[in-house]
Amino acid sequence: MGSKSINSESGRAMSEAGYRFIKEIGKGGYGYVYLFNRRRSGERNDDYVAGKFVYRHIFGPSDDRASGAAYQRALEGLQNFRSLSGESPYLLRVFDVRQRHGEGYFCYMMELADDMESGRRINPRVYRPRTLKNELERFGHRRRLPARKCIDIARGLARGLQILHEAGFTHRDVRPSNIIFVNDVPKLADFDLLAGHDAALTSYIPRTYAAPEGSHSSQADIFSFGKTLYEMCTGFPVKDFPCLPPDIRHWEDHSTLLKINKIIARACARDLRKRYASAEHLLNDLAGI
Amino acid sequence: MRRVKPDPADTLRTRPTLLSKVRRGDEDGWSRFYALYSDFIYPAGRAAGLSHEESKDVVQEAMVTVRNYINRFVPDENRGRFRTWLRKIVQSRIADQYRNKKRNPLERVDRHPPSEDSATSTTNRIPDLNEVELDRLIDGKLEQAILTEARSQARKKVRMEDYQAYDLFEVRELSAREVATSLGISPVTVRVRAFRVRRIVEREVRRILKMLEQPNRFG
Repeated sequence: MGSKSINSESGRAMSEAGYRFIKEIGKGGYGYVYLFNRRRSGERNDDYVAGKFVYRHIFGPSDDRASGAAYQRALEGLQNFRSLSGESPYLLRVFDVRQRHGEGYFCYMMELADDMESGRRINPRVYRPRTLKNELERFGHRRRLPARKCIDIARGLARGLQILHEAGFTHRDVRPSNIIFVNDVPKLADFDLLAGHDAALTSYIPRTYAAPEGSHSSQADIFSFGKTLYEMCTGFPVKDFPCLPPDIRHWEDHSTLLKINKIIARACARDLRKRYASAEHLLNDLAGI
Repeated sequence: MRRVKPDPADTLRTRPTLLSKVRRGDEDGWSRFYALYSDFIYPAGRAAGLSHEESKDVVQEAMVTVRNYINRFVPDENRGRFRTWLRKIVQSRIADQYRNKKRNPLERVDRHPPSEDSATSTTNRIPDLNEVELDRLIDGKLEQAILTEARSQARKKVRMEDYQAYDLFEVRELSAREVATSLGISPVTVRVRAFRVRRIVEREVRRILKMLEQPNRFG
């Protein structure tokens, strides 16, 4: 399906610009993510990157103003994110943005996630991106991560969120499939919905992760972050939130999990006054464990 | 009992006219109704000895009957509740499945041969379950579906810590001491938290039943 969903124009364009299309590796609400090879002169090793293509037609008919505005917002989200992506190791690095509106899309290149099995040793034939979602479903069934690992990942992501929020943006779609690992470092990715704190904008975050008041604020991101942390440390799907595994008391990291549970409770409080007011507060509590 | 002010954010509360909507042919109301009831009709079919496919047919056929005849259902305490009406429909559709098997011997599966008791009864008799058992079975499945829905509503209204205690204590049936160890609190706190949630779950159950059985009060 990969080569079918990339049109011939963009395929040629990417080749001319020094990227060799390999295959499709992901699909989002607005476009596709492909694996590309970037071989620089003088370098012996292959350099792989991910390229995201966002297509105008996915938003709606070309004469529809509302879908045109949504397409523009996705582009703005990307530009906003690009200005921040170098600010923190916990935000995915984005480069080489190309606006090809005449051909009905825009695209950009970004760091490639580790491979699920071989990390940075990428074998394009069997490559599978290491997202948090894939990590939680690694061996064909759901599993949890050890409490220590959860804290390490959570601290990194909270720091990434803090930078986004302090710059005035909301991610709007924090969930395991949008968190990837690069060199084993967790990073917030998929920022198509990134925007200022504007309640009028639509978000497509699944209801199970969405804050009850909507996804337009930094506190809503914290709510979704709490749900993600819940999945990480219990291994339960988010629909089971907030139930705990009945045998949790026998787990060796039980006492640490109880501390994380308190943080999840505050991150996922339905009452905004009881929820963390900022990612900084959340980060402080995570650091305190 | 203190009356609870309706909360527009609550899915079920925004649909107190569920049956009224189904009567009007409202697609959204119908989808909600289907989701709620198919969860209990299918297991009732399986428990009555039907196969997966046959039980799915029972769901489809029962829903078609409800859709066609919902306007004839008049909620009346003397004549019967909505649950009783629906139970009769499900019972008949299960009986239909057994009759079809008799008519098509090649498809007949003798996993549950008719009992002596049922062999002498009416054509509507289910081979291996008498009507009382089937009534109990269907009621049980319906109550389970309502309880699941009530818990899912309560989950949105209570503190996370309270629901965790309730789930481990009441749903998973761990002892208060085991839950206390699991959550790092005292057994007394476990009981208090679980009780707090149970009250809300019970209130939700009452509300759902009222909504299902007295649609006119809401419509």
